[in-house]
Amino acid sequence: MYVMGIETSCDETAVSIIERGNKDRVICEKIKSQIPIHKKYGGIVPEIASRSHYEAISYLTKEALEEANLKIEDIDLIALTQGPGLIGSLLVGLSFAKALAYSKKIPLVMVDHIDAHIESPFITNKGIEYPLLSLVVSGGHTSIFHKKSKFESELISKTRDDAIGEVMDKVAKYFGLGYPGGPIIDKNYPKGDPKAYNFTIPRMSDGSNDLSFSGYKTAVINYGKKDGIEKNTKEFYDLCASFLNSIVKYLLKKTKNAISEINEKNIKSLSIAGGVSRNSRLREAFKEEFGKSDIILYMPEPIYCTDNGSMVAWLGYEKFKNFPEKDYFDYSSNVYSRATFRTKNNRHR
Amino acid sequence: MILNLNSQSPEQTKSIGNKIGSLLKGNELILLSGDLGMGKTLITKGIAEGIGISENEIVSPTFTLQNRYSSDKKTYLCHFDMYRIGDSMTDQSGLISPEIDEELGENIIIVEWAQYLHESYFRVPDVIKIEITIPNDNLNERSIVIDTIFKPILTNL
Repeated sequence: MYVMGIETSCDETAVSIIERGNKDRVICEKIKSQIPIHKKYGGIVPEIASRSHYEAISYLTKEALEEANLKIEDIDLIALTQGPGLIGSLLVGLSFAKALAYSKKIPLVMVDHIDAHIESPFITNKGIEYPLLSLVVSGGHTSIFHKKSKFESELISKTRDDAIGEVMDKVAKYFGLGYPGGPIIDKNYPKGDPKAYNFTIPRMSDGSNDLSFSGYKTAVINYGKKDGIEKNTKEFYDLCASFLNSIVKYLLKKTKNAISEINEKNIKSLSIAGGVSRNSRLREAFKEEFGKSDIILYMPEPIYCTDNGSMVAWLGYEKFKNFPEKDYFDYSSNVYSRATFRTKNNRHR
Repeated sequence: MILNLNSQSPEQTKSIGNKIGSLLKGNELILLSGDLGMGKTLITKGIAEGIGISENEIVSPTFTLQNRYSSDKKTYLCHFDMYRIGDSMTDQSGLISPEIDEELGENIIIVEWAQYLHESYFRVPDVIKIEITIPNDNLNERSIVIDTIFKPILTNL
């Protein structure tokens, strides 16, 4: 069957068409990034994001159908990101998808954005086994999930302040490097000495395995101020490399803690996902650490790290197939801005 | 009235926040200004503890622009962030101010990067302005300047 995936939760408008069932493949993926638009503001401006989604979504859908050589009537299922994300942006996708599905009598399945990221390594990897530990790293999220099966998920660690991508954006903005910060810091990594500057590893006073990144941000800025570091100097490259090296090591440590906390024998696979999983230093470090371990490491293809429609379509198909009792012609769903996770003690929302 | 406080550590910044939080009644606007890494989210964590919300719940609102938490005091803590709106435009564009207006008079509102907020908000009754800076060369020290006419803070802090 042909599944169309629509994603508008943040600053990428994406429409994908995939084939599932007899074949499992992505036919085409159309992404319009808003990065050039948001660049001058050093971050996403929500109202501008909504308008930009509105302008792009219709022609991206047309282009996707043309490239796939399909008509809208050939689409068997539409999958849509329901949240979390920017409300205005999500609403553009919701209104578009509902109208399209309703007018053509196509079933509509709603997908959680974070779950879709966790699904992204499945697009190009067959036979990922559960239980799976998934590290989600992006501009808005830094979380570790324990998944007993595709639809049983528990949040076991999350950031208590800034997300990892947010810290990279803020550090980049401090030095006047531009937006988004992650790819720029990544690109500069080989130019510096990753051991030149030291960072204290954050510790949680309650012994939890939660994460914290705001201390790294303050430390980089303090080093910058103390030594009067200007961008594109030797000290600057050393500081960037040391910063990236330290946060990657920290993520590795937290991931290993999580594995031992839930008893490592139970974990068969480990995956990383989300925009920051595209970071080459992060990918390298995880490969070095887990390349030879019993736990098999999976990473999405770079195109499926950042927001995309294929991961939405991929998970949408799985939901549609696994929950046939649900009414997919009920077009009354709404969007949500904040994540709701099941956790061990249900403390988090 | 202006109160000049000094913090020698992140823990102390948080505990000042905690004290402020414990003095709030449930209808205040707190405007936080200060550069990157000054401890705006940190002092917010302290304030949250003071009004009965676990500090672990409080995360940076930069990405979402607004987070909302419910407290024991049957009021909400609304945590806003102007960072991403900052340089691009003042709040005249109306991206955040309608959301703040909706919460005003009902809940405890904390706005980070308030330096980018329209000046009319600085004249709201019971507004508590807090500015965090580094006072000298010691990068671990913070000067916390509180400007308010809110009595409980002035008499107890």
